[in-house]
Amino acid sequence: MQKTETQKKRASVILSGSLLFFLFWALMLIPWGNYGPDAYLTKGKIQQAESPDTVFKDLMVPEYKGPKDKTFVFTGICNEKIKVPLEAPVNPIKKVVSDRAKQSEEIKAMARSLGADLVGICELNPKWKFKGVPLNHKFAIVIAEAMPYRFCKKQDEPIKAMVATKAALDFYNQGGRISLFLADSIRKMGYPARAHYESWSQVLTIPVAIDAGLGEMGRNGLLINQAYGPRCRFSVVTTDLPLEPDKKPKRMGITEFCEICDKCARACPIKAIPFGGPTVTRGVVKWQLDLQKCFKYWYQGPNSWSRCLVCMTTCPWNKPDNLLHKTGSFLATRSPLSRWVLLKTDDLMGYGDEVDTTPDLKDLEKNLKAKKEG
Amino acid sequence: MILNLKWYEWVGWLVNVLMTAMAILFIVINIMEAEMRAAGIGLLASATLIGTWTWVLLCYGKPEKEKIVQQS
Repeated sequence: MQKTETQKKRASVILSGSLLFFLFWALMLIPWGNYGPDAYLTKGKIQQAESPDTVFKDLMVPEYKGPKDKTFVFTGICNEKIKVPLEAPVNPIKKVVSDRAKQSEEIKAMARSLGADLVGICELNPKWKFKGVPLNHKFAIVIAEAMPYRFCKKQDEPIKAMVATKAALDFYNQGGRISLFLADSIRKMGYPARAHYESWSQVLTIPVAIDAGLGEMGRNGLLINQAYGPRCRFSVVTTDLPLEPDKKPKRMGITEFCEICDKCARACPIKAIPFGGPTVTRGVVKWQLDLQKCFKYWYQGPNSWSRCLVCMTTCPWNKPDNLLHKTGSFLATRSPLSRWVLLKTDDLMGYGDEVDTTPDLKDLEKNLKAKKEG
Repeated sequence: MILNLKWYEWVGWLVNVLMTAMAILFIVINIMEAEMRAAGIGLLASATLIGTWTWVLLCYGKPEKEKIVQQS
Protein backbone atom coordinates (compact mmCIF):
# COMPACT_ATOMS: atom_id res chain seq x y z
CA MET A 1 0.00 0.00 0.00
CA GLN A 2 2.78 2.43 0.99
CA LYS A 3 4.65 1.60 -2.23
CA THR A 4 1.58 2.40 -4.29
CA GLU A 5 1.06 5.70 -2.48
CA THR A 6 4.70 6.65 -2.99
CA GLN A 7 4.47 5.70 -6.63
CA LYS A 8 1.31 7.79 -6.98
CA LYS A 9 3.06 10.75 -5.36
CA ARG A 10 6.04 10.31 -7.68
CA ALA A 11 3.79 10.06 -10.73
CA SER A 12 1.87 13.18 -9.73
CA VAL A 13 5.07 15.20 -9.18
CA ILE A 14 6.55 14.13 -12.53
CA LEU A 15 3.30 14.70 -14.40
CA SER A 16 2.64 18.10 -12.79
CA GLY A 17 6.17 19.22 -13.54
CA SER A 18 5.88 18.07 -17.15
CA LEU A 19 2.46 19.66 -17.52
CA LEU A 20 3.81 22.93 -16.12
CA PHE A 21 6.66 22.81 -18.64
CA PHE A 22 4.33 22.26 -21.64
CA LEU A 23 1.77 24.78 -20.37
CA PHE A 24 4.48 27.41 -19.90
CA TRP A 25 5.72 26.97 -23.48
CA ALA A 26 2.18 26.89 -24.85
CA LEU A 27 1.43 30.22 -23.16
CA MET A 28 4.75 31.59 -24.44
CA LEU A 29 4.29 30.49 -28.05
CA ILE A 30 0.58 30.72 -28.80
CA PRO A 31 -0.25 34.32 -29.76
CA TRP A 32 -2.71 36.00 -27.41
CA GLY A 33 -3.14 39.29 -25.54
CA ASN A 34 -2.13 41.76 -28.27
CA TYR A 35 -4.22 44.78 -29.16
CA GLY A 36 -6.48 44.79 -32.22
CA PRO A 37 -5.27 44.87 -35.84
CA ASP A 38 -4.67 48.65 -36.00
CA ALA A 39 -1.05 49.13 -35.04
CA TYR A 40 -1.55 52.76 -34.30
CA LEU A 41 -4.00 53.68 -31.57
CA THR A 42 -6.01 56.85 -31.90
CA LYS A 43 -8.52 58.39 -29.54
CA GLY A 44 -10.86 61.11 -30.67
CA LYS A 45 -10.06 63.49 -33.50
CA ILE A 46 -6.48 63.50 -34.80
CA GLN A 47 -5.07 67.03 -35.04
CA GLN A 48 -2.26 67.98 -37.35
CA ALA A 49 1.10 68.93 -35.88
CA GLU A 50 2.24 72.54 -36.08
CA SER A 51 4.03 73.68 -39.22
CA PRO A 52 7.65 72.55 -39.69
CA ASP A 53 8.91 76.14 -39.28
CA THR A 54 7.43 76.23 -35.78
CA VAL A 55 8.44 72.68 -34.84
CA PHE A 56 11.97 72.82 -36.18
CA LYS A 57 12.69 76.44 -35.22
CA ASP A 58 14.14 75.52 -31.81
CA LEU A 59 15.32 72.12 -32.95
CA MET A 60 17.39 73.25 -35.92
CA VAL A 61 21.14 73.01 -35.70
CA PRO A 62 22.49 76.28 -37.10
CA GLU A 63 25.50 74.76 -38.78
CA TYR A 64 23.33 72.21 -40.66
CA LYS A 65 20.84 74.48 -42.38
CA GLY A 66 21.31 72.77 -45.74
CA PRO A 67 21.52 74.26 -49.24
CA LYS A 68 19.52 77.44 -49.81
CA ASP A 69 18.53 76.40 -53.34
CA LYS A 70 17.31 73.03 -51.99
CA THR A 71 19.60 71.14 -54.33
CA PHE A 72 21.66 68.45 -52.67
CA VAL A 73 25.04 67.46 -54.06
CA PHE A 74 26.38 63.91 -53.78
CA THR A 75 29.69 62.48 -54.91
CA GLY A 76 29.55 59.66 -57.47
CA ILE A 77 31.93 56.70 -57.74
CA CYS A 78 34.17 58.63 -60.18
CA ASN A 79 34.20 61.59 -57.84
CA GLU A 80 31.71 63.41 -60.03
CA LYS A 81 29.16 65.73 -58.45
CA ILE A 82 25.56 64.56 -58.72
CA LYS A 83 22.95 67.24 -58.05
CA VAL A 84 19.54 66.14 -56.84
CA PRO A 85 16.90 68.79 -56.21
CA LEU A 86 14.39 68.51 -53.37
CA GLU A 87 11.65 69.85 -55.62
CA ALA A 88 11.73 69.90 -59.42
CA PRO A 89 9.37 69.97 -62.41
CA VAL A 90 7.75 66.69 -63.36
CA ASN A 91 8.45 64.99 -66.71
CA PRO A 92 5.50 65.84 -69.00
CA ILE A 93 5.63 62.30 -70.48
CA LYS A 94 3.82 60.04 -68.01
CA LYS A 95 4.67 56.38 -67.63
CA VAL A 96 1.57 54.21 -68.02
CA VAL A 97 1.09 52.06 -64.95
CA SER A 98 -1.15 49.11 -65.73
CA ASP A 99 -0.12 46.87 -62.84
CA ARG A 100 0.05 48.74 -59.52
CA ALA A 101 1.39 45.75 -57.61
CA LYS A 102 4.26 45.33 -60.08
CA GLN A 103 4.99 49.07 -59.96
CA SER A 104 5.11 48.91 -56.15
CA GLU A 105 7.58 46.02 -56.32
CA GLU A 106 9.75 47.95 -58.77
CA ILE A 107 9.80 50.98 -56.49
CA LYS A 108 10.77 48.82 -53.53
CA ALA A 109 13.51 47.12 -55.56
CA MET A 110 14.80 50.56 -56.57
CA ALA A 111 14.84 51.72 -52.96
CA ARG A 112 16.65 48.55 -51.84
CA SER A 113 19.22 48.88 -54.61
CA LEU A 114 19.88 52.42 -53.36
CA GLY A 115 20.57 50.95 -49.93
CA ALA A 116 17.28 50.88 -48.03
CA ASP A 117 16.98 48.17 -45.38
CA LEU A 118 13.18 48.23 -45.16
CA VAL A 119 10.64 49.73 -47.56
CA GLY A 120 6.90 50.11 -47.02
CA ILE A 121 4.11 51.73 -49.01
CA CYS A 122 0.89 53.20 -47.66
CA GLU A 123 -1.75 55.76 -48.52
CA LEU A 124 -0.79 59.11 -47.10
CA ASN A 125 -3.09 60.12 -44.26
CA PRO A 126 -3.54 63.91 -44.56
CA LYS A 127 -3.52 64.13 -40.75
CA TRP A 128 0.16 63.24 -40.72
CA LYS A 129 1.09 66.34 -42.71
CA PHE A 130 2.26 69.41 -40.84
CA LYS A 131 -0.24 72.27 -40.66
CA GLY A 132 -0.31 74.61 -43.60
CA VAL A 133 1.73 72.33 -45.86
CA PRO A 134 0.50 72.32 -49.47
CA LEU A 135 1.06 68.60 -50.05
CA ASN A 136 -1.60 66.62 -51.90
CA HIS A 137 0.17 63.38 -52.74
CA LYS A 138 -1.77 60.17 -52.45
CA PHE A 139 0.88 57.63 -51.49
CA ALA A 140 3.86 57.48 -49.19
CA ILE A 141 6.93 55.28 -49.66
CA VAL A 142 8.72 54.86 -46.34
CA ILE A 143 12.42 54.01 -46.33
CA ALA A 144 14.18 52.70 -43.24
CA GLU A 145 17.95 52.74 -42.79
CA ALA A 146 19.03 50.51 -39.94
CA MET A 147 22.11 51.39 -37.92
CA PRO A 148 24.32 48.38 -37.17
CA TYR A 149 24.16 47.10 -33.60
CA ARG A 150 27.86 47.85 -33.04
CA PHE A 151 27.07 51.59 -33.13
CA CYS A 152 24.20 51.28 -30.65
CA LYS A 153 25.85 49.80 -27.61
CA LYS A 154 28.30 50.84 -24.90
CA GLN A 155 31.57 51.83 -26.55
CA ASP A 156 34.79 50.99 -24.72
CA GLU A 157 36.86 53.81 -26.21
CA PRO A 158 36.02 57.49 -26.74
CA ILE A 159 37.03 57.38 -30.39
CA LYS A 160 34.64 54.49 -31.01
CA ALA A 161 31.91 56.48 -29.28
CA MET A 162 32.67 59.39 -31.62
CA VAL A 163 32.39 57.15 -34.67
CA ALA A 164 29.18 55.59 -33.39
CA THR A 165 27.35 58.83 -32.86
CA LYS A 166 28.60 60.33 -36.10
CA ALA A 167 27.14 57.22 -37.71
CA ALA A 168 23.81 58.00 -36.08
CA LEU A 169 23.68 61.26 -38.04
CA ASP A 170 25.10 59.69 -41.19
CA PHE A 171 22.25 57.21 -41.37
CA TYR A 172 19.78 60.09 -41.48
CA ASN A 173 21.77 61.43 -44.42
CA GLN A 174 21.83 58.06 -46.13
CA GLY A 175 18.07 57.80 -45.82
CA GLY A 176 17.79 61.29 -47.18
CA ARG A 177 20.00 60.41 -50.14
CA ILE A 178 17.84 57.37 -50.97
CA SER A 179 14.61 59.34 -50.73
CA LEU A 180 15.99 62.20 -52.85
CA PHE A 181 17.11 59.85 -55.62
CA LEU A 182 13.85 57.90 -55.46
CA ALA A 183 11.72 61.04 -55.65
CA ASP A 184 13.80 62.30 -58.56
CA SER A 185 13.33 58.97 -60.41
CA ILE A 186 9.57 59.10 -59.89
CA ARG A 187 9.42 62.67 -61.21
CA LYS A 188 11.22 61.45 -64.33
CA MET A 189 8.46 58.83 -64.72
CA GLY A 190 6.00 61.73 -65.00
CA TYR A 191 4.49 61.76 -61.52
CA PRO A 192 4.95 64.38 -58.80
CA ALA A 193 7.07 63.24 -55.89
CA ARG A 194 8.90 64.79 -52.95
CA ALA A 195 11.44 63.51 -50.45
CA HIS A 196 10.89 64.10 -46.71
CA TYR A 197 13.70 63.67 -44.21
CA GLU A 198 15.13 65.49 -41.18
CA SER A 199 14.13 69.15 -41.16
CA TRP A 200 13.10 68.98 -44.85
CA SER A 201 10.13 66.85 -43.96
CA GLN A 202 6.57 68.07 -44.46
CA VAL A 203 5.07 64.95 -42.84
CA LEU A 204 5.49 63.18 -39.53
CA THR A 205 7.65 60.22 -40.54
CA ILE A 206 6.87 57.94 -37.61
CA PRO A 207 3.07 57.65 -38.00
CA VAL A 208 3.52 57.30 -41.76
CA ALA A 209 6.02 54.49 -41.13
CA ILE A 210 3.52 52.80 -38.79
CA ASP A 211 0.84 53.02 -41.49
CA ALA A 212 3.31 51.42 -43.91
CA GLY A 213 3.71 48.51 -41.49
CA LEU A 214 7.37 49.09 -40.66
CA GLY A 215 6.99 48.94 -36.91
CA GLU A 216 5.16 50.10 -33.81
CA MET A 217 5.43 53.05 -31.48
CA GLY A 218 7.82 52.73 -28.57
CA ARG A 219 7.95 54.52 -25.24
CA ASN A 220 11.15 56.27 -26.29
CA GLY A 221 9.36 57.97 -29.20
CA LEU A 222 11.18 55.80 -31.74
CA LEU A 223 9.62 53.34 -34.11
CA ILE A 224 10.53 49.83 -33.05
CA ASN A 225 10.40 46.81 -35.32
CA GLN A 226 11.17 43.14 -34.81
CA ALA A 227 14.13 43.02 -37.19
CA TYR A 228 16.14 46.08 -36.13
CA GLY A 229 14.59 47.26 -32.88
CA PRO A 230 14.74 51.04 -32.44
CA ARG A 231 17.80 51.44 -34.67
CA CYS A 232 16.04 52.61 -37.83
CA ARG A 233 16.22 56.06 -39.35
CA PHE A 234 13.25 56.89 -41.56
CA SER A 235 12.67 59.02 -44.60
CA VAL A 236 9.57 59.29 -46.76
CA VAL A 237 8.80 59.90 -50.42
CA THR A 238 5.26 61.12 -51.10
CA THR A 239 3.97 60.72 -54.61
CA ASP A 240 0.99 60.38 -56.94
CA LEU A 241 2.54 57.43 -58.78
CA PRO A 242 -0.16 54.69 -58.79
CA LEU A 243 0.97 52.17 -56.20
CA GLU A 244 -0.56 49.33 -54.21
CA PRO A 245 -0.31 49.97 -50.46
CA ASP A 246 1.12 47.14 -48.37
CA LYS A 247 -1.25 45.05 -46.30
CA LYS A 248 -1.00 46.03 -42.65
CA PRO A 249 0.93 43.35 -40.79
CA LYS A 250 -0.33 41.69 -37.61
CA ARG A 251 0.51 43.45 -34.38
CA MET A 252 3.83 42.56 -32.86
CA GLY A 253 2.90 43.67 -29.36
CA ILE A 254 5.74 46.18 -29.14
CA THR A 255 3.56 48.93 -27.69
CA GLU A 256 2.21 46.38 -25.22
CA PHE A 257 5.82 45.53 -24.31
CA CYS A 258 6.61 49.19 -23.68
CA GLU A 259 3.68 49.39 -21.28
CA ILE A 260 5.43 46.98 -18.90
CA CYS A 261 8.98 48.17 -19.60
CA ASP A 262 10.39 51.58 -18.67
CA LYS A 263 14.11 50.98 -19.18
CA CYS A 264 14.53 53.96 -21.49
CA ALA A 265 12.67 56.28 -19.10
CA ARG A 266 14.90 55.16 -16.22
CA ALA A 267 18.09 55.44 -18.27
CA CYS A 268 17.39 58.80 -19.96
CA PRO A 269 20.00 61.20 -18.52
CA ILE A 270 17.65 64.21 -18.60
CA LYS A 271 14.34 62.40 -17.94
CA ALA A 272 12.71 63.45 -21.19
CA ILE A 273 10.88 60.11 -21.52
CA PRO A 274 7.68 59.71 -19.48
CA PHE A 275 6.94 56.87 -17.06
CA GLY A 276 3.54 55.22 -16.75
CA GLY A 277 1.04 54.54 -19.49
CA PRO A 278 0.64 56.39 -22.81
CA THR A 279 -1.35 59.62 -23.00
CA VAL A 280 -3.38 61.23 -25.78
CA THR A 281 -1.53 63.87 -27.78
CA ARG A 282 -3.36 65.49 -30.69
CA GLY A 283 -5.71 62.51 -30.81
CA VAL A 284 -2.94 59.91 -30.82
CA VAL A 285 -2.28 57.48 -27.95
CA LYS A 286 1.47 57.58 -27.36
CA TRP A 287 4.19 58.51 -24.91
CA GLN A 288 4.86 62.19 -25.42
CA LEU A 289 8.53 63.02 -24.97
CA ASP A 290 9.85 66.38 -23.85
CA LEU A 291 11.46 67.15 -27.21
CA GLN A 292 12.99 70.45 -26.15
CA LYS A 293 14.80 68.78 -23.23
CA CYS A 294 15.95 65.91 -25.40
CA PHE A 295 17.27 68.02 -28.25
CA LYS A 296 18.95 70.55 -25.97
CA TYR A 297 20.86 67.70 -24.35
CA TRP A 298 21.72 66.17 -27.72
CA TYR A 299 22.88 69.43 -29.25
CA GLN A 300 24.45 71.73 -26.70
CA GLY A 301 25.83 74.42 -28.98
CA PRO A 302 28.19 74.83 -31.94
CA ASN A 303 30.43 71.75 -32.13
CA SER A 304 29.15 70.60 -28.79
CA TRP A 305 27.12 67.42 -28.95
CA SER A 306 26.32 64.90 -26.27
CA ARG A 307 25.45 62.55 -29.12
CA CYS A 308 23.17 60.72 -26.74
CA LEU A 309 21.88 57.32 -27.87
CA VAL A 310 20.86 56.11 -24.43
CA CYS A 311 17.19 55.37 -25.13
CA MET A 312 18.15 53.38 -28.20
CA THR A 313 21.01 51.54 -26.50
CA THR A 314 19.06 50.50 -23.44
CA CYS A 315 15.94 49.35 -25.30
CA PRO A 316 15.41 45.57 -24.93
CA TRP A 317 14.53 45.40 -28.64
CA ASN A 318 18.03 46.66 -29.48
CA LYS A 319 19.89 43.38 -29.86
CA PRO A 320 22.57 41.88 -32.13
CA ASP A 321 21.35 40.04 -35.16
CA ASN A 322 21.85 36.41 -34.17
CA LEU A 323 19.70 33.31 -33.75
CA LEU A 324 19.32 33.72 -30.00
CA HIS A 325 18.05 37.28 -30.12
CA LYS A 326 15.91 36.67 -33.20
CA THR A 327 14.22 33.92 -31.19
CA GLY A 328 13.83 36.32 -28.27
CA SER A 329 12.28 38.98 -30.52
CA PHE A 330 9.93 36.40 -31.98
CA LEU A 331 8.86 35.24 -28.50
CA ALA A 332 8.33 38.80 -27.32
CA THR A 333 5.65 39.30 -29.96
CA ARG A 334 3.56 36.32 -28.83
CA SER A 335 1.89 36.92 -25.48
CA PRO A 336 1.89 38.95 -22.25
CA LEU A 337 3.65 36.07 -20.46
CA SER A 338 6.43 35.91 -23.03
CA ARG A 339 6.88 39.68 -22.85
CA TRP A 340 7.12 39.58 -19.06
CA VAL A 341 9.53 36.63 -19.06
CA LEU A 342 11.77 38.21 -21.69
CA LEU A 343 11.79 41.55 -19.90
CA LYS A 344 12.87 39.89 -16.64
CA THR A 345 15.46 37.85 -18.55
CA ASP A 346 16.74 41.04 -20.13
CA ASP A 347 17.15 42.60 -16.68
CA LEU A 348 18.78 39.47 -15.28
CA MET A 349 21.28 39.21 -18.12
CA GLY A 350 22.20 42.87 -17.73
CA TYR A 351 21.39 43.84 -21.32
CA GLY A 352 21.11 47.59 -21.74
CA ASP A 353 22.58 48.26 -18.31
CA GLU A 354 25.79 49.67 -19.73
CA VAL A 355 24.31 52.47 -21.74
CA ASP A 356 26.14 54.58 -24.25
CA THR A 357 27.77 57.54 -22.58
CA THR A 358 29.38 59.37 -25.42
CA PRO A 359 31.78 62.14 -24.59
CA ASP A 360 31.43 65.68 -25.71
CA LEU A 361 33.56 66.55 -28.71
CA LYS A 362 35.44 69.29 -26.82
CA ASP A 363 36.36 66.81 -24.07
CA LEU A 364 37.56 64.33 -26.65
CA GLU A 365 39.76 66.91 -28.35
CA LYS A 366 41.11 67.99 -24.94
CA ASN A 367 41.83 64.38 -23.97
CA LEU A 368 43.55 63.58 -27.26
CA LYS A 369 45.67 66.72 -26.96
CA ALA A 370 46.63 65.86 -23.36
CA LYS A 371 47.52 62.31 -24.43
CA LYS A 372 49.79 63.64 -27.20
CA GLU A 373 51.55 66.08 -24.88
CA GLY A 374 51.73 63.56 -22.02
CA MET B 1 7.26 -0.83 -19.59
CA ILE B 2 10.21 -0.20 -21.90
CA LEU B 3 13.65 0.13 -20.32
CA ASN B 4 11.97 -0.37 -16.97
CA LEU B 5 10.38 3.09 -17.27
CA LYS B 6 6.75 3.82 -16.73
CA TRP B 7 4.90 6.01 -19.22
CA TYR B 8 4.94 9.12 -17.03
CA GLU B 9 8.70 8.70 -16.55
CA TRP B 10 9.07 8.82 -20.33
CA VAL B 11 7.25 12.18 -20.31
CA GLY B 12 9.55 13.39 -17.54
CA TRP B 13 12.68 12.35 -19.44
CA LEU B 14 11.36 14.01 -22.61
CA VAL B 15 11.02 17.27 -20.66
CA ASN B 16 14.57 16.76 -19.36
CA VAL B 17 15.96 16.27 -22.87
CA LEU B 18 14.12 19.34 -24.18
CA MET B 19 15.35 21.50 -21.28
CA THR B 20 18.92 20.29 -21.75
CA ALA B 21 18.85 20.96 -25.50
CA MET B 22 17.50 24.48 -24.99
CA ALA B 23 20.07 25.20 -22.27
CA ILE B 24 22.98 23.98 -24.43
CA LEU B 25 21.80 26.10 -27.37
CA PHE B 26 21.40 29.16 -25.16
CA ILE B 27 24.82 28.83 -23.52
CA VAL B 28 26.74 27.96 -26.70
CA ILE B 29 25.27 30.88 -28.67
CA ASN B 30 26.05 33.28 -25.83
CA ILE B 31 29.64 32.05 -25.67
CA MET B 32 29.96 32.42 -29.45
CA GLU B 33 28.68 36.00 -29.16
CA ALA B 34 31.08 36.66 -26.24
CA GLU B 35 28.19 37.45 -23.92
CA MET B 36 29.79 35.75 -20.96
CA ARG B 37 27.51 37.16 -18.25
CA ALA B 38 24.43 35.79 -20.04
CA ALA B 39 26.19 32.46 -20.62
CA GLY B 40 27.18 32.23 -16.96
CA ILE B 41 23.72 33.03 -15.67
CA GLY B 42 22.19 30.64 -18.19
CA LEU B 43 24.57 27.90 -17.08
CA LEU B 44 23.78 28.44 -13.40
CA ALA B 45 20.01 28.59 -13.90
CA SER B 46 19.86 25.61 -16.23
CA ALA B 47 22.17 23.52 -14.04
CA THR B 48 19.92 24.17 -11.04
CA LEU B 49 16.70 23.47 -12.92
CA ILE B 50 17.90 20.45 -14.86
CA GLY B 51 19.75 19.09 -11.85
CA THR B 52 16.63 19.30 -9.69
CA TRP B 53 14.46 17.71 -12.35
CA THR B 54 16.96 14.92 -12.96
CA TRP B 55 17.03 14.21 -9.20
CA VAL B 56 13.22 14.00 -9.22
CA LEU B 57 13.31 11.54 -12.10
CA LEU B 58 16.06 9.38 -10.66
CA CYS B 59 15.45 9.46 -6.95
CA TYR B 60 12.23 11.07 -5.78
CA GLY B 61 9.71 8.61 -4.45
CA LYS B 62 11.73 5.56 -5.41
CA PRO B 63 12.33 2.84 -2.78
CA GLU B 64 15.94 2.68 -1.47
CA LYS B 65 16.47 -0.84 -2.93
CA GLU B 66 15.55 0.35 -6.43
CA LYS B 67 17.86 3.37 -6.14
CA ILE B 68 20.81 1.16 -5.14
CA VAL B 69 20.11 -1.28 -8.00
CA GLN B 70 19.90 1.59 -10.49
CA GLN B 71 23.07 3.27 -9.25
CA SER B 72 25.02 -0.01 -9.41
